[in-house]
Amino acid sequence: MLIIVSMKLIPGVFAHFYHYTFGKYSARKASNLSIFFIFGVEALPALIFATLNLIFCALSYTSLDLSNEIFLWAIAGLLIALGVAFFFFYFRRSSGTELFISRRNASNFIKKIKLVKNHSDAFVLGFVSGIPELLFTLPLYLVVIVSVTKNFLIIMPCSLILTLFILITISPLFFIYAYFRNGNNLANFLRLRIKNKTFFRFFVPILYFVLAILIIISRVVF
Amino acid sequence: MEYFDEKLIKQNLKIDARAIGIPSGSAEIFIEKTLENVKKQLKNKTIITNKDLERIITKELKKYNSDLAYIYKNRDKII
Repeated sequence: MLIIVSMKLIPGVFAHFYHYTFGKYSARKASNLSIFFIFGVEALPALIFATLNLIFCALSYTSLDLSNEIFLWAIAGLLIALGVAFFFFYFRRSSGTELFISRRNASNFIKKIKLVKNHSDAFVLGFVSGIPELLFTLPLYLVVIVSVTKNFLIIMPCSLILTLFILITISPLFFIYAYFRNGNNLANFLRLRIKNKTFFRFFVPILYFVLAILIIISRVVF
Repeated sequence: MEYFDEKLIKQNLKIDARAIGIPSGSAEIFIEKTLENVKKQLKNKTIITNKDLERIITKELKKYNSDLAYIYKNRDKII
């Protein structure tokens, strides 16, 4: 959860989006559009969880067991590889906080932000902004869905845990919203991101490694 | 290659200025002044790179509002 919260693409797009809509439209319309953007961001993990759940349900009728040793080692290895990839590739080597996505993709996002006019545009933009980051987050969703379906089913309903998970993972957007509403602007946000860039470059890979070690040694997840 | 589109730059700067809470009247005045100074500096040049243009506009904007200049300079560097 902490890893997904630490990702920077969706907050970056949201900050741009909020800045631009607030400059172009009235405060009320900007707030409404921001809420639909957040709904869009929420829709992506919800769809992923639903799909993964369906796959697991289908697999439960077959002899394939995803909680076996090989799958466990594969997931742990993938998490370690993602930790290394995050350290080297997530942030580009530049003065700003340019991310791993191609520059063409980044400028497309900025162009689309400027074209947002109504709720559906904001929703779609929110939904799409999470897709490039799936490269780093999809294995985490997989770990979550397996752990939830295997371990916590008795304690709490699965859907409630996943809903809580989605709400917590999109919490940075609410913080950014509050940050801007408190009189801060995009310049302050940018400075803050640049200041914390090195910290996140080390912090997130450590989290990936810790999760991988937990999976291998104590098997808390499975 | 693209043409120097003063209208587009002005429009984007106005949106940025409004978003960071600069009153529209004063924003309009200093954006006009900034672009006038930029045009004066570009008078003898027929071709200029985007980076040079960005540098000149940032330098001029900084005289009036450092936050706006910072946003203009880093507008493509956040994602």
